[in-house]
Amino acid sequence: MSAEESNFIIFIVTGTIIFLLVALFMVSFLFLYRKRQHRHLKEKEEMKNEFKQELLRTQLEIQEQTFKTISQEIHDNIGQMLSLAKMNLSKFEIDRFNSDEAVLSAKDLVSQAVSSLRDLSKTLNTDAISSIGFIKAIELELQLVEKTTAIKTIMQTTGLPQKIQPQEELILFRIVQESLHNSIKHASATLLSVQANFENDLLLLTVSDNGIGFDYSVNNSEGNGLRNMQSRSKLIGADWRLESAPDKGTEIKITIPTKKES
Amino acid sequence: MPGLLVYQYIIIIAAIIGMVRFQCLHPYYIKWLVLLLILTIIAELFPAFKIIRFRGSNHWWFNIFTVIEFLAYSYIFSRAITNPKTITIIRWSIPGYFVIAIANIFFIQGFHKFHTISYRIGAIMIVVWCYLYFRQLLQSEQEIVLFKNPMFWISTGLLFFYLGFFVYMSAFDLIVYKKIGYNKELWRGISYSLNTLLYSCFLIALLCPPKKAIS
Repeated sequence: MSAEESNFIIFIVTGTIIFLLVALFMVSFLFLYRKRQHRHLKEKEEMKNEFKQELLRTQLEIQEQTFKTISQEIHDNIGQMLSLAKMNLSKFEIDRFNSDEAVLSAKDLVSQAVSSLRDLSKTLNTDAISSIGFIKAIELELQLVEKTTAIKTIMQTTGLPQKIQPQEELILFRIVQESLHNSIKHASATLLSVQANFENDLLLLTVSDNGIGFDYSVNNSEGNGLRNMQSRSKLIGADWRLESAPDKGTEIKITIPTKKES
Repeated sequence: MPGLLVYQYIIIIAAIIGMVRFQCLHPYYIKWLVLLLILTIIAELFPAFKIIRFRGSNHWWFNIFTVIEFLAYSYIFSRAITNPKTITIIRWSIPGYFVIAIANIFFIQGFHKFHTISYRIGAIMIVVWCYLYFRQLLQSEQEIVLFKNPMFWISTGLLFFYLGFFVYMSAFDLIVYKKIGYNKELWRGISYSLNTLLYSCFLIALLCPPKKAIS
């Protein structure tokens, strides 16, 4: 075999090997890419399931909290009003001619009870949050707090309210509800304030109290509840911060984008 | 069957499996591969038993067979690819390639000479279809298990075969013209190994489990 023939054969064999390596590269690239994509899809699916589970848990917690508040409201407020109304009507039974005032008072008390019941009915289900709006739901929650406790509440909204995804609203509401509940339970506060500030496609939500506060870095007794709020915030893409110091109250700041790609 | 090569046994096994599993083959266009394999058996065995020899050469026989092969592969890809623009291109390429191959075989290279020009065009065409199919797999957001996807195996086999054969086929005319020594050994080395790889991939494609029915 001449040198020319030998070179020619080497050229063909080398060329064939190079082309086969190109094919091998293409198949390997496809295989590795699909493997990575498979992992990504699996993670996405897991996150979706986790979100659904968290949402369900949140709904149950809201319901539980709402039932507790309603039970307290019925016992302390509506029950009292109806008892008073009953007493006034009893007066009417005894003296039918001098009981105009008692009837008017009973009528007034029954009206108040009806109004309270109407307010309560709005908080009975979690769908109310999406139908009446997240801000209105917080206002109602604060009204309930005022009625059932001796704590004063303030609600402030600045900027033009923007819509948040209903599922995110629900989780956000639960975070606010839990923050309020923590303040009522542990802070010995006399004033609770919620500020909603809509600005630059962001909602900055501040829940604060004037209670005893605590050293966040040292106190771990409330760790679970706070961690829960933090992980829920992360789940809906919100930033969650807590500022507190002994005798300086507690402030929770949640920032969430209001416009998101679907 | 004495005198048969390894890859020819693989073709026969693949064709038998394809015929046995014909009804449950999925996707449906894979069934065309079974018909093509039966045709391949005829194409491979007739020259092997010297049934067809016309003017001392069987190139004309492979000219016809390889053109049919390119058209059949293109048709299978036109069914496997989902992008409408690509489908249109492939569908137009089928009659386009047929015209080019016929023109080359009858008016340029001649009927009794192997049609290297249109073969190279066909090989490039199939490599492009394989690339486009792989790109579709890359972009797909659906869960795809490559090992269980018959089209993945078919494309892999074809990609290796036609890319591997391209250099040899590009130099084929020169090899014949210069009467390069060891040509037969070179041909056997490349052709037999690539054919074995191609038909093994086809065999795996035909063994892929059918898609489970969605309940």
